[in-house]
Amino acid sequence: MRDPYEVLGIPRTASDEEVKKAYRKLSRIYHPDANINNPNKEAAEERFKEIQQAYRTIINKDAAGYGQSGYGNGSFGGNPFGGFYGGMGGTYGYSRGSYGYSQDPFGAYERGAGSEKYESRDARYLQAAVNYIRNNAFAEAMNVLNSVTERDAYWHYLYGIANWGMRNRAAALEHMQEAMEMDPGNSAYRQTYEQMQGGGEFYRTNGTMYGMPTDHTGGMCCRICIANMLCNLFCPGSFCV
Amino acid sequence: MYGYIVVNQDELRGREMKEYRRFYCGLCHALRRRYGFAGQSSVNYDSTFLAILLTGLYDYENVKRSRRCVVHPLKAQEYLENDAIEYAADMNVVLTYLKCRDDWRDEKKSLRYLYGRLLGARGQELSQAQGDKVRAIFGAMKHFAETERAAAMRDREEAETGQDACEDRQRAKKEPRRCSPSERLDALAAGFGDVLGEVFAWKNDEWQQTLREVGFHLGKFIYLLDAWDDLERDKKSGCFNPLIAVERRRTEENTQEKLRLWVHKLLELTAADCAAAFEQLPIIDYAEILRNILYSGMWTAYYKKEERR
Repeated sequence: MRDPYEVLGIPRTASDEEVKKAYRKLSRIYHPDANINNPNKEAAEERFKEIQQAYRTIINKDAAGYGQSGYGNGSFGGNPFGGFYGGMGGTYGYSRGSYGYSQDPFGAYERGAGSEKYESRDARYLQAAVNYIRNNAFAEAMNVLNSVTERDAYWHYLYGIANWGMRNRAAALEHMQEAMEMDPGNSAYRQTYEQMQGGGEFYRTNGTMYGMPTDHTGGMCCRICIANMLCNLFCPGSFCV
Repeated sequence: MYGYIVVNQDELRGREMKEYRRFYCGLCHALRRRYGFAGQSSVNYDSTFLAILLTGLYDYENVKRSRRCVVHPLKAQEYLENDAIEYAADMNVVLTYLKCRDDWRDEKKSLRYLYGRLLGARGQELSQAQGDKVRAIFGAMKHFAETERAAAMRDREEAETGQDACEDRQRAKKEPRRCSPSERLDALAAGFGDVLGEVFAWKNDEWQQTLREVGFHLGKFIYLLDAWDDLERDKKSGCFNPLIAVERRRTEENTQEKLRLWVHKLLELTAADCAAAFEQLPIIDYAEILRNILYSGMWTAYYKKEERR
């Protein structure tokens, strides 16, 4: 693939806004809808696909800022998990959710710590779950974990990770907390919990640019629509909350 | 459940506020034109957000008009017209209709019933014009309602016999593991997220998936915030609220504060997901208004509740 910056015609130092502007400009020219009557419309479509791809590559890289916060650099290489995006930014679709750790989180299991106490069926399920998680197949991991009978700290840990991958934040936090409570000495559990808690840093940073919102909806309504008096009768509370 | 996606007015410039109003008025006019008075009175801020988002994403020649109206009988106000606003108006009616139908079913609010009928009557053409989309939304809403019923049942069971007793019984019978309150909460939020995801995924094009993501996470946020907002009221009235079971599970001290922190964290993670999806979209125009809403405005109800305590 050509260098995405070259495709969009922008320098590497371009800001998000410049990237978007460049995309829009090119999209207007090469979008299929704009080339219906063009004799070279296949060429235009090819070019458009290239532009789309370039845009997504750049924006996803920028969006990785959402997850960086020191967890690892999003490499998909040696570490079984890629960068631990706080579940956001570039992780659309379950297939791209990758959750990295600074140490192999399955070390505890693979070193055989406590593996003797599992019935062999449970052990197989747990191993299957680990494999599913490594391949970002979180729904399958959850399925197999639901069949495990012995639900100890490690089970809660894996279940928490699988839930996080499915973007079930509440369950993920709950189970990770349970894992920590059942096995307070385990640093991997604590670390993962911290990472989950730390998610949203990029969002928070952006949010601090705004002051805390105060409730003006009453005034706004009056300025905009007096019909809201009648609306309060009919509307399902959609005005002046 | 709607009306949470508002702007933080203090942080918008005058020019941006005018722009916002043009959309709101545009939506109102579109609703009036297509759905009469019933439609017009359903106008809400959430659909305004959708209208602005879609307008920002797609290149439209925004037709600007001015009109006097019921609220402004003397001075004509500017408003916008374009396809995105028309679509947002349609979606507005669909969601309001569904809400009325559910309110009637659950709480027997007869005015809602009447209103729903009014909307439904005008909405016939919509079902024909946007058939697939309407069907998809209704389908998602049905699934959400089923999830809610199942969750409410589990809730009642647990409240009566206690969570641990439920788990022991299920383990003894070797039944597959049932969901914990947190998992139920996630499932419900995701269920509503699917509805809004369907609403936001307007056209079958290169942005459909990303728009669906924005809608999905926004829907989850709205559901969570609504559950949090209504928690006390639902506890008193005995209405189902997934946070009640979550709170019941916590046995440590300072439950109220810990729950608040937990809910805040969840809301933040969900909002972050939504904003991340938004930032993927190549939106330049109106981006500041949209960012105001996503990073600040939509927390208004949350902070309003904080102030009350």
